[in-house]
Amino acid sequence: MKHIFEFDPNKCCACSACMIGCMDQNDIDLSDETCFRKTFHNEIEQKDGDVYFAYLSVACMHCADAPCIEACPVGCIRKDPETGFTIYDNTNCIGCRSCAMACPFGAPRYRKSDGKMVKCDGCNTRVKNGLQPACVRACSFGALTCVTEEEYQASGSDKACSALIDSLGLRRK
Amino acid sequence: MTELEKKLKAKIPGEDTGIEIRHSLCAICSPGHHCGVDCYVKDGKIVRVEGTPEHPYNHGKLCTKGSSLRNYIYREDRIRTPLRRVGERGEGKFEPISWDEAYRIIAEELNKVKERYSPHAVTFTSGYCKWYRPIFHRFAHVFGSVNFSTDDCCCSASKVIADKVTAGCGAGPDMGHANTFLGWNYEGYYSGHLSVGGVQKLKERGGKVIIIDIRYTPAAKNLADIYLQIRPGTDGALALGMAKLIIDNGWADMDYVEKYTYGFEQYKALVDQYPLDKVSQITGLDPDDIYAATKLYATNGPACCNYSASALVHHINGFNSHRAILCLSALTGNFDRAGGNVPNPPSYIHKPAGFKTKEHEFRSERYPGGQERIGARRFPLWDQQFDEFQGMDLLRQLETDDPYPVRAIFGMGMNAKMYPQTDRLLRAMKEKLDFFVEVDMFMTYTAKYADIVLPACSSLERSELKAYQGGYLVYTQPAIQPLYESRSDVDILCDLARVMDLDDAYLKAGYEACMDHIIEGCGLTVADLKKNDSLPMKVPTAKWPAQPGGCLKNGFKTATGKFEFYSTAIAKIDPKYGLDPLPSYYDSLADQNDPETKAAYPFYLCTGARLAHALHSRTHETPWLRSLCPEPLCELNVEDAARLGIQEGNLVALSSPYGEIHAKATLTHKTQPGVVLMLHGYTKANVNELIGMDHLDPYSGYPGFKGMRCAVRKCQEVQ
Amino acid sequence: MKRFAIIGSGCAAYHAAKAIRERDKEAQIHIYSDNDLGPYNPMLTTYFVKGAIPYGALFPFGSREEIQSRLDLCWHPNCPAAGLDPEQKAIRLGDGTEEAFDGIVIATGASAVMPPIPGLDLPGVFKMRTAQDAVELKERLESGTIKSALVIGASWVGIKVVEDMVEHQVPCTLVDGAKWMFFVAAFEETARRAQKDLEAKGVQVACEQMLDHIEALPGGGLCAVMQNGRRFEADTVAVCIGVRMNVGFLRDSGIAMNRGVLVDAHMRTNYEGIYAAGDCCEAIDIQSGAPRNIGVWANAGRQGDVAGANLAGVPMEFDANILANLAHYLDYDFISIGDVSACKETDQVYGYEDERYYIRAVRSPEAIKCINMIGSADSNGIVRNIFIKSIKEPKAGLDVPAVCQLQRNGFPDSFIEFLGGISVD
Repeated sequence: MKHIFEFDPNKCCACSACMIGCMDQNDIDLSDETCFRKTFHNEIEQKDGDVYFAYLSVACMHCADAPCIEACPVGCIRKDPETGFTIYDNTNCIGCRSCAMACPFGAPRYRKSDGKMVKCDGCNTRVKNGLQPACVRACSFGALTCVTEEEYQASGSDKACSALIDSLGLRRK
Repeated sequence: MTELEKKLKAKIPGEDTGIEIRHSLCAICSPGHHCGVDCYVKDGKIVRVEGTPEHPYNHGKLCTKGSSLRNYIYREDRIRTPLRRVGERGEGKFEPISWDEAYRIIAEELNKVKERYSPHAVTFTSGYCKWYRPIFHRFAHVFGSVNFSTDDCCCSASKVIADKVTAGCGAGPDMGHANTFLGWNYEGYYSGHLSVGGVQKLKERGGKVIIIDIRYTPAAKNLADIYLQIRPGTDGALALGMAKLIIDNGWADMDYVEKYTYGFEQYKALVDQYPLDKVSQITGLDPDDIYAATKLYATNGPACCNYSASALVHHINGFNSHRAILCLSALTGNFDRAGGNVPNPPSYIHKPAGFKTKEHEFRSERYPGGQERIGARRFPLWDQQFDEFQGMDLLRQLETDDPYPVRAIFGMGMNAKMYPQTDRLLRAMKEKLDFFVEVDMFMTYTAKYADIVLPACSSLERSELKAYQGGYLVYTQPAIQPLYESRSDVDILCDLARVMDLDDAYLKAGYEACMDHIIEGCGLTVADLKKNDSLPMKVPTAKWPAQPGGCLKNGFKTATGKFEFYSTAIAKIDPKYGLDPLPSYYDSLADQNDPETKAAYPFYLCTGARLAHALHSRTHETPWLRSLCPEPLCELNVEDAARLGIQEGNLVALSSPYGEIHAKATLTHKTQPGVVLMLHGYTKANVNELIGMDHLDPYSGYPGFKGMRCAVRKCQEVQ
Repeated sequence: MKRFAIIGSGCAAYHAAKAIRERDKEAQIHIYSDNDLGPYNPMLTTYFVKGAIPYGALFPFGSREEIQSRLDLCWHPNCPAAGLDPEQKAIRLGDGTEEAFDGIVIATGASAVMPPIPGLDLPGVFKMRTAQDAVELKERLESGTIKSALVIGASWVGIKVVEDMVEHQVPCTLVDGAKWMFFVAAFEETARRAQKDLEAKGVQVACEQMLDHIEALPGGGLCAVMQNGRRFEADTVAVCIGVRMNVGFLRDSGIAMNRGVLVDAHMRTNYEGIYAAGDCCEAIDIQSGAPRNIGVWANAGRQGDVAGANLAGVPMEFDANILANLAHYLDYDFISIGDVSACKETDQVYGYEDERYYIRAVRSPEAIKCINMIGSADSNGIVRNIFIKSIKEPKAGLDVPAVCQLQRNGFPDSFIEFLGGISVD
């Protein structure tokens, strides 16, 4: 069953529980790396003098048509046919940052200790075992959710992270 | 990778992976919360923590701090064994000793002070966690001391007392039936994550939300229909002004006022002094906004209000501000009515659960008397209304021995950073105490001053009785064995009761026996609860949800039996203390408004506004949480910063007449010019050093943590 | 049942075959290849040399046999096309036979250029493009026989060969014919900066050096002699001058060509049913609107996808074709986004430098033209995306997430302003 991350910025407060959930799940070693998800609470001054108070939680969007997959020269990255998440096996990763150059969202991250790329895999194994991704599990406010494609269609929502890439005009038509 | 390897890496619970889920609870924050957690345990170690989906309180949710629970309990600064000090107090040099040795020394030293001075020269002081407090409280009394104090001396109790002397009890917002939610200082996102859903639901069914806060918070952004960015410390004036608007416009529920309240005429005379233009001037709010918010609150049907535990009462005028706000609920006929604020007394340790326990009796029945408590003369209202000493007077008494000497402290999670002028308190402790024993999970700044330090275990490593909203009780089983040589707080106390041969059968019988006594008659025993896999059980005698109307029908628990705009309890206090039975307003910087101080310290310092990753000093050293905000930050308004030539990330000096600290500046549009915010609890930038030890609310003794004059200047990188 | 031919067996060819197969389970798909290997990535050769990956990893989609069976392909190894009859959609093979199809994808790729310069056939002179090139250099490096190296051509491959040498502690000199390094992508200022940083890592760099010939020295070793007379001695010389598109067999076939095969947004040539993809073709560069080969791995894959999908009857466009060159070497990264040659004297120049980043960028009032950044690897995708968006919607500005990310990653607000400012819907 394909899964879709949804994000509602009007429910987010950048409390970063999602980041902690990610650290706990992925045993992130903070001395060497940061976690796959990032939150933002920026105050953005606009030209008209107004300030936009942004609260965001961002990780891999698991784009329906993920540009990182074809960008990887070693073929590390692929789609999981069951969940639809953009997963990877970095055994052969050469740390060339081609995936980072392809990703409009800055999701792939270079890990210095082993010279390899890492990124959010949607907690693929958890989802396959009937659990929620760790970040979603940690969100108390319903800002970050993960639903099946069927549930998404039925909900009439327009907040799929995987479709964000469409809005960027990058996707093949 | 094989499938099993993948599952192991992903920590999937199951027989094949050997990862087992064990239920427990998170005790990082106040026991008003304490969410149920699922510990993923592999080979005796916790590998992951999630909220328990079937838990009736948190329904699987955890906040930022709770999500870090694994990182929190495996912190490097956990105390591993009992320790005896070998260096100077504060130096942090200790040697490990055995538990037996530690108990022997503690018994000997406490008894020495008792014999040489009096039992009251030993104070019993608790910080976090709070779960053991009934045992500790009783322990103090059985030992013979009247002096037991907790963080209640600066957290929430001021509100509790204000409620008590006004309405006889507190009352929570009935979100399910309200049309309007007056979120006075409401910021659920960072301080009460489970409450946000209730506000969202109210909005979804067409309810309106007013948020009053000095900061444009996520709640203000995501939830508010009307947001009032009030000048800090002026909430009382706003409430009085709103009351005048309500009365003048005929929005008051005069039937309710006549039937159920006392002192309306005096109250009306008071609020008449707060016309809209004056209130606008004091609060910095647009009169139209005040009018719109007041009208919405008073005329849109049932309206409930958020009464925050500390945001208001951490001003030296906060006790009265809270009373003034509370009075709005009676004025509009919303107190003890559906959709308004409904009394719901706690069953056990701050948790309302719809049934009675003997907690209060257990704590108080052995009160020894024979001496006045610390602070009794200075804060008579507190002393009369609360069964702990006012800890904000501890430093003065330590320094002056007036009215009698204090020579030993038995601390459990005692946190000197909680007190204004922390270092002065520690210096006094260092010089004046014959003995200081401290029990804590972590080697804290305060623990370093102790003569004996005992390692407590975390909530995941012990059994604990706890009540929950909805009429529940739980008795948890340890998810893992206590780390190192740590022990449960209550076992330490009960062990000591036996070693010291205290005259109390309950304490000597141990925690379970005490709990069985406390919950006796509720329909469940500890033995019953133990069979439920550390999950809450419905208490047969529990009545839930709380029904409104009890006070209206049976009378308020005040001397007049009414809701008292004019507090008869305060009227009884000796007039020399100058406490007003009416919720009158005075300036929150009243004690520092002389021209020199005003000129030298032009900014309004507000400490402790909640951020998601922190709770007091408790989580600052938890690596995952610290990584979210590695540096102590001082929040400055962008205009102020521009004026002072301060840029994001610059080091600034923050000073008051009491001290100076350095922190990195972060610039914000969320606060008004002139306001400086700083999170408390950092060792290297402890903002409470700037709060004067006498900058206290005369009603409650509460420090003005959220209202203090300060100066800000850019400084060179010195650290 | 339809029959399709794909000429070539690289990344674009693989993706074209896969795209067809995903949409047409029945079709016959023929692959005509000039070698007997699976698709390999020329970019990986230098990584194999330095031991970052095993030989098998040069073939990211698997071996020929695996792919052949996975996608059910008729693979003709060592059987290159010698000619094409676009009217008939027929391929002419080496033996003169012709084979007609329902559709053809030309995906013959490019080859390393070995110009007709005397001495390039001497032992010790090598190029770097094929798997075989990589195997040979790796053996030599590991045997310890290389004591000094000269790399000719500060290209994307050249710089990686330099890295291989440095990591094997081989003293190395880099020479280039252009006025400065990374000439086709870098501003002069950026290049000077990159050169200085490279020299700080112990590499000698000389620009404006046109190779005249290479000669063997009497006592062993080689000497590259420049047209200006300068001589560079080393026992190994890597020639990394550039690549040439493998389109010779199409000359005079009627297929429209520039340096490579010209295609539209659907990757179609001037003939219906005939598509081209990858390093052999020139798709529309959306910045200039003119055809241009942008020879990077991701483009080859995307273009192959698009060509294959269209052949299989599912319309698809390739529309984000912009110049973006990333050089990552010796713990250093330099990216150029956009066309440096499009910049004019009158354009606005933006410069920024701190401990972490070096930025130099140029724009006109209407459009961003070229951005050079050093040290920005984590944010390259974000900036690249902003650049693409700025071409499509010049007035749109940056969206909130992009602004948040750039601010968090330590980019100055002035750069955000340069990129188009902030847009909040």
